[in-house]
Amino acid sequence: MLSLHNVTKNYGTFEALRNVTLDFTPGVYALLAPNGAGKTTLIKMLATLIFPTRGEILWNGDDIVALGAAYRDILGYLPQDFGYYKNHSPRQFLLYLAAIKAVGRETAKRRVGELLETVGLADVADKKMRAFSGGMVQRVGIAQALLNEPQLLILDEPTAGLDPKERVRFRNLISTLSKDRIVILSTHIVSDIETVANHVIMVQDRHIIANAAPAQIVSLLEGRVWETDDMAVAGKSGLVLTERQENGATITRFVSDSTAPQMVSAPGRRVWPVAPNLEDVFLHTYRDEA
Amino acid sequence: MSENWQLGVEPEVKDRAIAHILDEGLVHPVSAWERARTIQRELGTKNIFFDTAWSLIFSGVMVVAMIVITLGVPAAWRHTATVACAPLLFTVILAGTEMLERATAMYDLKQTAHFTIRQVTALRVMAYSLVAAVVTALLASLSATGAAEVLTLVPLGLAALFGCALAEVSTLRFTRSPWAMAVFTVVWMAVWIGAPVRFGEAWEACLASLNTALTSGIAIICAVALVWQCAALLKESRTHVIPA
Ligand SMILES: Nc1ncnc2c1ncn2[C@@H]1O[C@H](COP(=O)(O)OP(=O)(O)OP(=O)(O)O)[C@@H](O)[C@H]1O
Ligand SMILES: [Mg+2]
Repeated sequence: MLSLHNVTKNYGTFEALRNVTLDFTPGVYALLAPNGAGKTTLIKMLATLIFPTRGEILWNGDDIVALGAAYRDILGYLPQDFGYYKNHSPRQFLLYLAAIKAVGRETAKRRVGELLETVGLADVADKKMRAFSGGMVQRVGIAQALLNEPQLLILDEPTAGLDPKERVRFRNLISTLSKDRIVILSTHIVSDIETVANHVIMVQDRHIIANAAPAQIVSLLEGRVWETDDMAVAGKSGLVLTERQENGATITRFVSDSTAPQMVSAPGRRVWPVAPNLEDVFLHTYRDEA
Repeated sequence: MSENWQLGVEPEVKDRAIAHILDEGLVHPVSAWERARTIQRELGTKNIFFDTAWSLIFSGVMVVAMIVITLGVPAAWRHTATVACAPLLFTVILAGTEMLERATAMYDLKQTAHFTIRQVTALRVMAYSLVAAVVTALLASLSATGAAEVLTLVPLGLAALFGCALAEVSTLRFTRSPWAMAVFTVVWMAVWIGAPVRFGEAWEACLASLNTALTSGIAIICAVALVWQCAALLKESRTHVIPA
C-alpha cells in the first residue's frame, strides 16, 4: 500500500500542493484536474524525482526514498513528456530499458515481445522510431512502464495523443492490469476515467477536494443538471456547461440548483432533467479557473 | 558487551534477532568499487554506453587533436601544451554524453530505473578517466625528450586531467541543466588556453618550474577525490539529488 501523509510541496516560495493525505490500495486512481493543478507535481513525488517539502510518502510503511532501488523495482512510470531514441527501434529501446530496470535478459526478450503485441506495435517492432507518430511513441512509453511488471504503475497523461481506438485498447489494458496492482493516472480526458477508474482524485487550489468512486463524484450533481433548447433559460437559471447542435436546434446543458427551471422557460420551449456525468462535475468544479 | 548480557541471551533469540535485522533490509555496506563492478556485470558494458556511439567518433577526433598538439608544439611550449591538452578527451566526451542525456526527457525516466542514470554516469566517468589517463601518460612520454622530462610531463598531464575531471564531475553532481556541462567545458578551455596567451613565456616557465612531487601530489589527490565523487553518484539518495 502506498500512502501520503500531510505532503506539502513548494517550488521556492510557490506552494504547489498543501497537506495532501492519500492512501492507495490496488485499483485504478485517476487524477482529474485542470492544467497547472499539481498532477505532475504529485506524480513526480511518487516517482521519487522530486521530494516533499514536508510530509512523508510510504510504501508498506517504509519511506519510498529510503527504499531506493527496492522501490524503483516495483515502480512503472510514464512521464508526461516522454523522450525516446529516434535512431532505435522500439524493440532495441525496450530491451535497453529492461536492462536498466534489471529485468533478466531472457525474461526481457519475452516480455518485450508480449508488450509490443499488447500496445499494437508488433509489426513496427524493428522499425526506427524516427518515423513514429506521437501516438505510436506514447504506446512505446506505455509498454516501457510495464516492463518490470510493476506493482505500482504511475502514468502522467498516458492517453495524450492516442486515437479513439487506441484509447479503448489502453482502457482495456488498464482494467486488466488493475486487478492486483495500484494504477495512478492523470488525465483531463473524462471518458478515460468514466469506464476504468475506481477512484477519482480531484485537486483544486493545492488541496485534494475529492477522492471517491466516479459514481459518487457524479452524484454530487444529481438532480441539478438540465438540458434545454431555450438558451435564455440556461443563462438565467444557472451555470452553462456545454452546447451542442441537434436537429437544427442548439441544446444547452446547464447546472441549476433551482428545483424547477421549467418555470422560467418561454412558452413552446422545453427544459428537461438529465443524468450528470463526470464532465459536468469537472466543468462545474473548475468553473472559476482560467 | 558484558558477560551477563551474553549469558542472558538464548541462541534462538539471538538468531531471531539477526534474522529480523536482515529482514528489515539492513545490508552490508558495499564499497564503491564493488558497487561499480556489480552494475557493470548486471547491466553490461553495451548498456552502460547505450546511444553514445557518436562520442566514440568524437573521441577519435579528440585523440588526433591531442596527438597533433602535443607532438607538434615547439619544445619551448611543451608544458603549456600538456596542461591544456590532457583534459581534452575526457572533458569533451563527458560533457557531450551528459548534455545529450540531460537534453532528452528520458533523463527523469532513467532516474526511476533500478540502475539510475546517475549511477550509469558514474561508471562512464570511471571508464573515461581511465582511458584519458592512459592516453595522457602515453602522449606526455612520447613528446618528452629524455627520461627526466617524462618524469615531469607525465605527472603534470595527469594533474591537469584529474583536476579537470574532478571539477567537471562536481559540476555534474550539483547541477541539472544541460548547459552546465557545456559552460564548464568552455570556461575550462578558455582558462588554460587564455593563460599562456595572457602571460606568455612566464606561464610556460611557471609550469616548467613545478616540481614532480607537487604535480604528482595534485594528480593523486584529485584522482582520489574523483573516485569519491563517483562513489557518491553511485549511492546517491535524496540528499544528493538535485531538485528539478
Ligand atoms: N519546477 C517548477 N518550478 C516552479 N514551479 C513549478 C515547477 N513545476 C511546476 N510548477 C508549478 O506548479 C504548479 C503545478 O504544476 P504541475 O506541472 O504539477 O501541474 P499539472 O496538473 O501537471 O498540469 P498539466 O495538466 O498542465 O500537466 C503549476 O502552477 C506550475 O507552474
Ligand atoms: Mg502535468
